[in-house]
Amino acid sequence: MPNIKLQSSDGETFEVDVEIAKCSVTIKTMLEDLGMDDEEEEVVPLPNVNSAILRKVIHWATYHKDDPPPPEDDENKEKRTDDISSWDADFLKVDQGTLFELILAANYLDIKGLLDVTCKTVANMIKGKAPEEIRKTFNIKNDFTASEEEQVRKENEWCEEK
Amino acid sequence: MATENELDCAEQSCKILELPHYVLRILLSYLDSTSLYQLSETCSYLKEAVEDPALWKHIDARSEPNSSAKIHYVTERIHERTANLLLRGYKKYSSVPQNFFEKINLYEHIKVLALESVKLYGSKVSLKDFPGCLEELSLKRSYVKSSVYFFQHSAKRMQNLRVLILDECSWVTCSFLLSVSKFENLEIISAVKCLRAHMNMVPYLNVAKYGCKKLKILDFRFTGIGGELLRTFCSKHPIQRMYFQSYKSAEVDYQENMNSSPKMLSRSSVNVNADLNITDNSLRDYTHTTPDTNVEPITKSMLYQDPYPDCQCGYKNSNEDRIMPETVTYSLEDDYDVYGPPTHTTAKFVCKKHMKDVEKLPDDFKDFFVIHQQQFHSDITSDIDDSDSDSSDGSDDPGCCIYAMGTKMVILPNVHEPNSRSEMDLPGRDGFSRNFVPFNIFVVNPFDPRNNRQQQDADERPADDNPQPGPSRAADENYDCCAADSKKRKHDDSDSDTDDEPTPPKRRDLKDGLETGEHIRKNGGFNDDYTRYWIDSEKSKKTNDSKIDGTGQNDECNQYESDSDTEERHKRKGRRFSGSDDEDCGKKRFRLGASQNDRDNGIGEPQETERDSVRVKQVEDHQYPPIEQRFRYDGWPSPKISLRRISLRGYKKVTHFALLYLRYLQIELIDLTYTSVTKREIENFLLYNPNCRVIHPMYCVCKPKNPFS
Repeated sequence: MPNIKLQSSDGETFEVDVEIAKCSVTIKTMLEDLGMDDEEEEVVPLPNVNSAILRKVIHWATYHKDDPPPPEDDENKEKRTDDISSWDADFLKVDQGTLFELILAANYLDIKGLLDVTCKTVANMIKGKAPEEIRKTFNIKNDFTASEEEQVRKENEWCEEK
Repeated sequence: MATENELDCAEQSCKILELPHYVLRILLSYLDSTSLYQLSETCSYLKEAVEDPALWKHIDARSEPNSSAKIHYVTERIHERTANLLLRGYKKYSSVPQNFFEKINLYEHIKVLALESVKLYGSKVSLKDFPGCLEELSLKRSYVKSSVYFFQHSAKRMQNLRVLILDECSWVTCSFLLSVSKFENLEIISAVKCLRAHMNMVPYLNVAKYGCKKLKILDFRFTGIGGELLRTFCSKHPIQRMYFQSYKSAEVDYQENMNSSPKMLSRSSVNVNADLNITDNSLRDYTHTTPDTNVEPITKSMLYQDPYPDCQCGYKNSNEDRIMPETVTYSLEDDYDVYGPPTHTTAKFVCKKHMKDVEKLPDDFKDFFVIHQQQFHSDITSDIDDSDSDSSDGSDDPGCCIYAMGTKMVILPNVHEPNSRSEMDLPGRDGFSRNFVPFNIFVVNPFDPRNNRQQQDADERPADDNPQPGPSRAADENYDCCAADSKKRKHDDSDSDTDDEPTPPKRRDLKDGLETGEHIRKNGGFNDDYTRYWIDSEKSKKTNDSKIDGTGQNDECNQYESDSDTEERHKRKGRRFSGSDDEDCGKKRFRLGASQNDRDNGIGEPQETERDSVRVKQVEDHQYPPIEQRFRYDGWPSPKISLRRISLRGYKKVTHFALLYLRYLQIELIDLTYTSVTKREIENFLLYNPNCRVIHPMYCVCKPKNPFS
């Protein structure tokens, strides 16, 4: 199996099986468009991904290399978030910073499966929480002005009365 | 390059707000509507992001918290491409903003609509205003104030509706079935714990059954409509699943106490024990049906969940016999003790409003109406809307006799289109013929004499019904007394056949009257009170001159049944009738059950006779006659039906006879928990239905899904 070299933003290079690298639609298109399958060793620079994250991404892609291609998004279906496999759940037991880095990397590399599973994980962190809890979890600043809050409160009151 | 330090900094900043817009959108697409609402309250950036219309195409905002504010927010987000809208109110009766209903018919893409635990105003919105493309509708636990006209005229609009869920809607009375029966594509009706569903059920069911052309699932657990529904809808071909469960068993299964909620039940004049029960007799007519092997698949529903998913307890695979549990938590008592002793109302009430219609009747008819205005009011008004104290707006006229279920007489203004039937509606008497069409008069006797008889039985031997020391013994004894019961019943029947007099609707008549015959064939068997009523009227037209003293019909009867005792019966019949010429008119025009009271008054037309005689034959039939013979129903082809699943959970009066009636129908699932059926009888049933999944303490012990959760 031919290998390909991927270089992270901090200069570290990873040698990866081409098939695994092709999980990423970005890399796949790059290889196809530029014909990078010459003998000469070439390094694909990935300036948006650091080595820690790239290692994780490769780890994920290696495990999932035999997965069937994810089904097309069905616009008419509600998306589920409770169908994360246990391996993925373990894999994503990371701090929030890494999780969001993974989302960005998955988005940049265009790896749909990884993007899905990371988004689901974040969605599960939001679900079932009150606004104040969500703010706390994600460190969101409450930027509503007092008058806006009042507005909302009034609207609600009106509803309750009705 | 991401050092520890940098990550820490990242922790400090808000990662979620740093996501590129399109990534955030993907993330938000995984959130349900409730979470989106919560997010909108966090900060202004997210508030804006959440308003993306694409996120509000499928709205499922049923999870907690279900505040009015959320409902308000969500309804503001609906747009014309929204396909699903699932809302749930806070505990009981949050109101949906009125402007939602003002715009509701603009939302032409809504296919699935759930408005649960909300309050609607029947005066402002009714079903005919709802989107016409609606395929599934749930009004679970909702309340419609002034609901009288809620379902009216909705048939045209609701052509696409497949699923209708009215669980725990105490405002729903049986009249809804009439409107709903005209919905062309309706496949599933779920009306679990509709405590007033039995109101006026006899007339409404008998008309409703002419519609419901595609109905496949009827889920009427914890309602009183079961017995009558089984009888009336017996030959409905498309019905595949019928689920019933007694009130009392809700306590055992789900700790749901029915006692507190339906005060109306105990106070109404309905005999909970007899009228709202399912007994063997409810299933009797199924002997005359044959199973259709082609069963249409049921389309998957988003809102309706079948109470019996695949078996979880694995009884099929375990070879060991299940041991009957040590303690039977359900004492096999009837619902009787839940609601107190049944009350009998035999007076005939007419409200003021309809009194003037009675005045129009010729004298012969007037005699039927005894007006107890005072009593009527105290009796009935208390039953109306006691769950909610807002019946004051006048459109639910509590004094109207339309509510007088359990009394003998119900006048239904314009219940059905006066098509072919209007011609025979009333006798061609002077000044009183077709001019009186707008009102169709049904005289309903909910007190089926058979039930009364059982009632007596139950009263006579209360000890038998008490909790038994050992479960299997209890079952056995129950079985014994049931067997004895049925013997006795049989005996009673032959007695009553002779005592009870006369005029079974004649088969010959059916064949003779081409019109009538066709009518019956079209509607799958004449086991249907309405038809019979009709036939009787027809017949009486013919024999109008030869006033019936009973003898005029003897030859017909003889062709119908040539038992030796028939003749004797006719003799007695003749004797009996000769003294009752005055009531002839009434006998001919009205279908009256033959309760004791009626008989004493001499105004009862004995509709039960035909059934009774058939039943006597059937009891003999239990000695395993050849199958072809059983299915022949006096020359008429037996209706083919698709019934595959049936639940009779908790109905103690269901005995092995029910299984005999059902056993040729290729039943796939039957719930016999808390019935009086024993293991031996089930074994026997399984010989005929080897693949049937029996839900019973000795077989599959899976509980049906909790509808109250």
